[in-house]
Amino acid sequence: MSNQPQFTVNVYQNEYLAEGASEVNAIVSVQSAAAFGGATNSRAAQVIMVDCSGSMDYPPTKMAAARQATEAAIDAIRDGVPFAVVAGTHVARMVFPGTEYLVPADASSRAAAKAAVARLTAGGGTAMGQWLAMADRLFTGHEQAIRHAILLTDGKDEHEDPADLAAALSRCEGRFTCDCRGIGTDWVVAELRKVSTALLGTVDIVADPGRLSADFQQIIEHAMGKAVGDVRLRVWAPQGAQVKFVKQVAPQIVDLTGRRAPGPNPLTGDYPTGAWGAESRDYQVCVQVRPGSVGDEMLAARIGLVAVDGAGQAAVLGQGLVKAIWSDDIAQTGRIDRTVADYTGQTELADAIREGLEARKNGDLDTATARLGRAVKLAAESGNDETALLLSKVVDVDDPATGTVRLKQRVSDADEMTLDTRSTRTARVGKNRNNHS
Amino acid sequence: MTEPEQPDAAAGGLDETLGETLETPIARPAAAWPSCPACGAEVAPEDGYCEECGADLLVRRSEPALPSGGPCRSADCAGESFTDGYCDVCGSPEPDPRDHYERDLGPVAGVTDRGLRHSRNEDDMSLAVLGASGGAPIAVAVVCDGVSTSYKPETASAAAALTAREHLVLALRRGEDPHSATLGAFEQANKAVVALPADPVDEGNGRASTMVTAIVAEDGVTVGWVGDARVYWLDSNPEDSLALTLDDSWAGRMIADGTLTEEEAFKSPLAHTILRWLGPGAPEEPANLRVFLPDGPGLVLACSDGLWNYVPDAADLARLAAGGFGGLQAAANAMASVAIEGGGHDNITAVLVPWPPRRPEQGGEPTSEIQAVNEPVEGNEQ
Repeated sequence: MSNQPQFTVNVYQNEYLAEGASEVNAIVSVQSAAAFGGATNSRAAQVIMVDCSGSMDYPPTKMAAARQATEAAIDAIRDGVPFAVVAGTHVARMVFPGTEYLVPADASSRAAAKAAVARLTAGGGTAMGQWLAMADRLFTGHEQAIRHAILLTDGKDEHEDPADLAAALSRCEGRFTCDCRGIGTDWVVAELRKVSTALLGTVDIVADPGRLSADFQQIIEHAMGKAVGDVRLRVWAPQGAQVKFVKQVAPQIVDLTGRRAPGPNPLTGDYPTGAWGAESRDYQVCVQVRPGSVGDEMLAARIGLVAVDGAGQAAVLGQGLVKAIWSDDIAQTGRIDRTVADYTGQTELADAIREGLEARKNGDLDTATARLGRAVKLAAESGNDETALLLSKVVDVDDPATGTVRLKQRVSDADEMTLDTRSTRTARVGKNRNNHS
Repeated sequence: MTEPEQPDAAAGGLDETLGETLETPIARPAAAWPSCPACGAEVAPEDGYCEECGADLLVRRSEPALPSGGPCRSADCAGESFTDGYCDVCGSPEPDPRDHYERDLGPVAGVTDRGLRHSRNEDDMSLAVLGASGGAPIAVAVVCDGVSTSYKPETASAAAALTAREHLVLALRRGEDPHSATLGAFEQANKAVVALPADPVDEGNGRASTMVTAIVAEDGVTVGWVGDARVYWLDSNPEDSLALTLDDSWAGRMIADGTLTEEEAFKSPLAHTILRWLGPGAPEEPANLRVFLPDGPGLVLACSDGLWNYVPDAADLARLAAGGFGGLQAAANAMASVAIEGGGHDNITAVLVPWPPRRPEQGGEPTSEIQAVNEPVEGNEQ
């Protein structure tokens, strides 16, 4: 019996284009349901990277929280799953086991690992590229498993060159997925987002150290629920067409456009999506096609979901078709697909927040006011209350309908970083769906 | 909703004094069918040949469009392989046999064409001739137009046309009168469309088609319709021609009410809004019916709005058909060509049947088996 989840692919679009139009937009919604409930038989491998730089002792609650959270994570690792714990400073050091390999989880290995974690102390610098390189070495030989890592930091990656981190990331891309957490407010959102995006994971702020344990436990449980490892979006577009972008738009925005790898033929490219359990994700695909005349029809893209095993063999899990039909009927061409429109709006909201915060940091207060005002308006229009609440901690809102705002004089770092990290989270849209969020 | 209405002179400003429009179905003696006209042996309504003596029972059915294959239809593409119905190189739709096909059974002939402005042909047609029923031949024509805004309308029209034609053939051969055979054909066709799976993305978006049927017998022409496809009587004297149907459309309703003139009604953007159709959510009432007895020879034309939008006037259509003297198929093709040359804005279907009906030739095409009407051509994308 197979433990492969069942994948369902639906395409939302208005396939009708006016004469001369050439841009085709579609939302590809993917849902996977585990073939059987709860635990999976799939093989997993887990590495936990804990920041042990000197700053973790200021305040000391951070180091204590990191130890406690790592212990909670170790408890959540499924029996038999090979794992390791790495201490990260300006170098990477094995915490458990003592040498560079992964040990299967059982009662005694968990106890030994927790004992080692309890002895962790803070001291040293921060060089995340080193930590990631060690994780990559640890996963070597576990290519058949679904490889997942957690990276916890409290600071800036200041003891190596940015190029070192970039090089480490490019080596790790496609090797394992990594969820990143920033504790405190001295770390850099853009830096950690670079890591989580490259490694197809999440990024979030843990402003309150007391919450870290629950968060780690949830991350591990989520990772243990993954049933299929290397899944890719396989996008075919016709000769003469250009795939303008491929973005994950739910549960969070991740631009995959630059991640295209050659597919099985010249008209096909593969975009990585990482590992899947029972979950739902939506993607927006934009294709520029050769414009047609009224009455013409074209397959603008075929979006396949393929699982690639350790030997490079691809199995098709599902597919959807994106079409273009040129029409002179305004009732057809004028119809707005709600799903495409909503995600386009949410992407614009995320962009407005990011640009607004960046302008604010750079002292360009006019741009910051305009962009954050636009974000307030978009959040109000789309009923995105969570983002509206986060925005209200950064700006005073005079009128959400027009986006009239004033920048707050005093904004806590935690509020600003929370808004920044969570701006890419989206609310799922669409009809007739089982909402998993 | 009211009982089916009889068309009146307001429909296309047509002359109602010609021919005889009967309010009630023609009384028909219990048919001698089913028995072999050659040897008298019993035959089943499904049989094309007598099981006893092998006589051709002169039943002719048109085949639906068949897959044609061939290279990509895009002029500048060398693609030859197709996946999911699209060219593997340029994404153009696979050559579709329904883009254009003709069916000539002798006593009835028709053509259906994609036109120039639609990506696929959502019209379909199905024809039959019963050559030996009580000595007098009967021709059957069905024309369907899938509703463009519905889900996979081309499957709805194909299922409806085939289902209705098969029902008419079997019912008439069982000896049913054309009136009840027609009502039954619409009920069965509706069921067939309702049975097709709805849009998986939007459950509320079912499939839908319009339909006209014509049973052309010596003792009268029985017309049934739902929607805005039409049946015309094209008299040998063109000026005596008329439309036999009254559109189930917004314009048709406005004209019938006397609210608007024909010219005013067709100016409205709502003009072509369909009020009745086959498929999920259709109003539950019997199909519109009309029985017409011609005074003299002429042609019955069953067509979709892709034709009559260009040539709405019955007399003009009659002149175009020229009595079918150049051949029925040629006349039907000529009509379709006029619509294409006029812009081909919609799919076009034209079927012609002469009255009085003709008998098919002996030893012609063998009678086809009954089609599997429950499994219409289905483009599966999921």
